Amino acid sequence: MADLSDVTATLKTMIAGALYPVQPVALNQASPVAGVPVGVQVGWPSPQSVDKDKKSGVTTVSIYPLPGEHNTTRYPKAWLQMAPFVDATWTLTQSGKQITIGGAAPATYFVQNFAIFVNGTAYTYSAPNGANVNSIAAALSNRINVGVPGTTVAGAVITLPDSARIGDLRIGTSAAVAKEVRRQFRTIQIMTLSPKPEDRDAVVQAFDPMLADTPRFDLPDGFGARLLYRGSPFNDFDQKFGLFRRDLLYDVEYPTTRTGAGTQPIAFQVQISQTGADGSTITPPVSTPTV
Amino acid sequence: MSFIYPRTIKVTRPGRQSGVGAREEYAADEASNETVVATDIPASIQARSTGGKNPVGLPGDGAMQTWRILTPKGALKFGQVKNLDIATDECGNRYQIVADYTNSLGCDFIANRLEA
Repeated sequence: MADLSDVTATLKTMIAGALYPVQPVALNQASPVAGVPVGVQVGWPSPQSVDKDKKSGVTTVSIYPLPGEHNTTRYPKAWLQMAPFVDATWTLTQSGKQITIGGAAPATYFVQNFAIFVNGTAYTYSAPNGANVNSIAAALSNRINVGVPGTTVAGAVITLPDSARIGDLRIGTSAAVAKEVRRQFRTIQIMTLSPKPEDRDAVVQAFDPMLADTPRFDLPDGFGARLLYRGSPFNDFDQKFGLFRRDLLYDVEYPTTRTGAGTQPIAFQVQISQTGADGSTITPPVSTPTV
Repeated sequence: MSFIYPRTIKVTRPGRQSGVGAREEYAADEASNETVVATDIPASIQARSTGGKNPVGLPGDGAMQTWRILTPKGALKFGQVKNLDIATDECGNRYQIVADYTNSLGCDFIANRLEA
């Protein structure tokens, strides 16, 4: 789920990466690019932090979104698959009139749906987090028993009556999906505070060209953001406090997204009805086939 | 507790963002990140003046109050408490110290109460 906090966090990573290309960074290590130690953070620095950095000769780069923004939403709100479907960890096997639930729960939970077709009807169940073979078998057996009386369960094995006609056994898994629900254009302020004017210049020169050469960047959920230079206010008014400041203003157009789990279809139910000329519905439905 | 100093305060210092490279924490003062400077300090907390708007800016805000916190001589070392430290009284009220000064009677502070 991308939002404004992902934009500022990604910019922080990009700027820190330009200043410190090699990780890890040692305590109080000077940036090999700028030649001075630099701390990069999101949010306005506290006065105590600025004073401490100033005494230590550390330049502070703070990233903060300015208040105004434009709504630039213009794309359809369609779900997009962000990753391939993962393999099922549960199994369904048939032997005669018996169906056995096998496999194991995934290390990290994801949705797995079961469908057992008996006498042309699909009986479905979605395994919740914490399920085991016995609980899945019991849940499926209860559902089948409604339409096929005489269905029993023992442990992970479901036994159907001899008259039952067993069809497909299906397990559908899930994949990460996301959709863009909004898009906005916002100015991000990147403030550099240095104890010396030459430190300020060296630090800004180390990361500003990288930002200027980055028309787009990726957000953690795989969606992209657009980066545009807006301006660079410069001031020395804080020099009496021992601080030299330069701001870079970059416009970022980024999406707000929703994420979820998309599941593979394992059974379809179609309900067909007829509507009379007066708008009345003819019931019962003509048919309710399952596929 | 005494007649002149009937209150008790604890003084804490907001956490500071530090380090070089990408700093993990968000740059903000959070009470959970404060370090203790002094505890169980006898104090007299007095309302000093009223004026100004609460910066939180809620419709139900009252006028901002300035407070004076007096401590007895010897309870705190000179310079032990600094500007922007937080004094918390025994009722849990938090005050941001905006001016610290010491005179022959002890360390005194001008403070703003931190409440929404």
